Amino acid sequence: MREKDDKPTRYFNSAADQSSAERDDKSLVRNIRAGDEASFAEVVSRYERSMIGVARAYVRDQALAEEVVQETWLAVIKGIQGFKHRSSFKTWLFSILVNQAKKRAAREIRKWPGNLLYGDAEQTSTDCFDTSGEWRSEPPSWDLTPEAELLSNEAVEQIKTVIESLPLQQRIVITLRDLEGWASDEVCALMQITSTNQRVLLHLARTKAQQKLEWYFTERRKTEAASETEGPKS
Amino acid sequence: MTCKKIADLVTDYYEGALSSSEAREIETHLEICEKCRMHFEHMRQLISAMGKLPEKPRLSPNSRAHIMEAFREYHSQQRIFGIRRTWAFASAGVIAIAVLAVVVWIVRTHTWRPTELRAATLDLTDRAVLRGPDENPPNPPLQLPRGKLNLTVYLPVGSEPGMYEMQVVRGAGEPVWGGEGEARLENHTTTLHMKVDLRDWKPGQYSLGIRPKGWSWTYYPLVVK
Repeated sequence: MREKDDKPTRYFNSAADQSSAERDDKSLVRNIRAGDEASFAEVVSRYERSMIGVARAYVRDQALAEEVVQETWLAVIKGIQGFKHRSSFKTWLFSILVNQAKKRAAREIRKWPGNLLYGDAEQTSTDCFDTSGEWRSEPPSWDLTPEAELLSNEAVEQIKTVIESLPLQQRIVITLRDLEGWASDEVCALMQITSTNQRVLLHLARTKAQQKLEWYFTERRKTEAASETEGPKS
Repeated sequence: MTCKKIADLVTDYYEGALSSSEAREIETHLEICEKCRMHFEHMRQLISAMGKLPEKPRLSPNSRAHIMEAFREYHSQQRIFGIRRTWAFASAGVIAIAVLAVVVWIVRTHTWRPTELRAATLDLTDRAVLRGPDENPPNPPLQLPRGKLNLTVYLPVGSEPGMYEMQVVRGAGEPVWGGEGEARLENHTTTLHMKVDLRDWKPGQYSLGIRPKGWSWTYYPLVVK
């Protein structure tokens, strides 16, 4: 059962307007069932990026991800007559996508490392702290204009690489939450995990991404400092 | 709380999953600890940056066309003469039932239940004048066909014109039919005209009772064929 999350969210929680979303869902599903091509095209466009993103978490190749998306829509076309609105259309759609992606991944005999929830939970930045729990060294700085810097090409590549290297469930959670902007309860509904589990996975994923970036910026500072030959800054 | 413990709670903090006292404890710590403050700030920036990553690829036109084609194909299969298949089947069913009903109705009305009036005659002229129980057993029973009859009854010689009542009794039971009419003299015979609907009667033996209105019944055996 899902844990109740009744405290106010502080940051980054996109709260969806539930009731209007439900109404939208119902008319959307009705239109698709009736064979309305424009509605169908609209919903294909609406979710194509997210669907490719989630599929990529399983198959990690654009062409394969597109095939998974295609197979998902074929299943939706046939299956939507039986859709009962027990979940949102989005959750239903993505659960089909995840099933198709798993099937495809199995077919491609790609084995991704670690499907375990807590496999490396203890790894959380232990090396940053000494035995008393104090910071071993200062967190490397990414300085004055950090967001612009974070969105530089290399940094984006670093973020993508580290996400791809994550275990499957962490990869899916961080993809949906931080890249696709899903709300936490949507992710819980799709993955059928508790909100606590979801937070653990998200924390592990984000921490690893942050460490990777800190390492990346440290390295970059070092090379910059070396090339400027003015001595190390810090 | 140690810095490590604080760092472990960064996601719970940003997710709003901490109690207000825990959150306050973290905020107090961040005010005094530069390193943790930086750590939290970095995390916040990372999350925000991930939300702004360059647009992910869309579907290729090929994949998209494939999906749309599948949609069109599925829904055209669902249509017969441009009507949704379920509706087409339903209306075909309704039409079939209606046609069947019309055929059954026509067959029944034309072969089993002719609606036209048929002329039929009961000749009682050579029977005794009505005055009690049947007095002439040697006479064969009267016969009537099943159907809607325009019945002409020639009453026994000597019957007077006037209002007559008729009834038909099956066995010893209740009358299955009753009626009355005025008998007139036609060609020196007292004649009674009546319309009788025998279509629902079972074939078999009945008794036909006739009397001048208010008198006692005289019964004649009647066979319906």
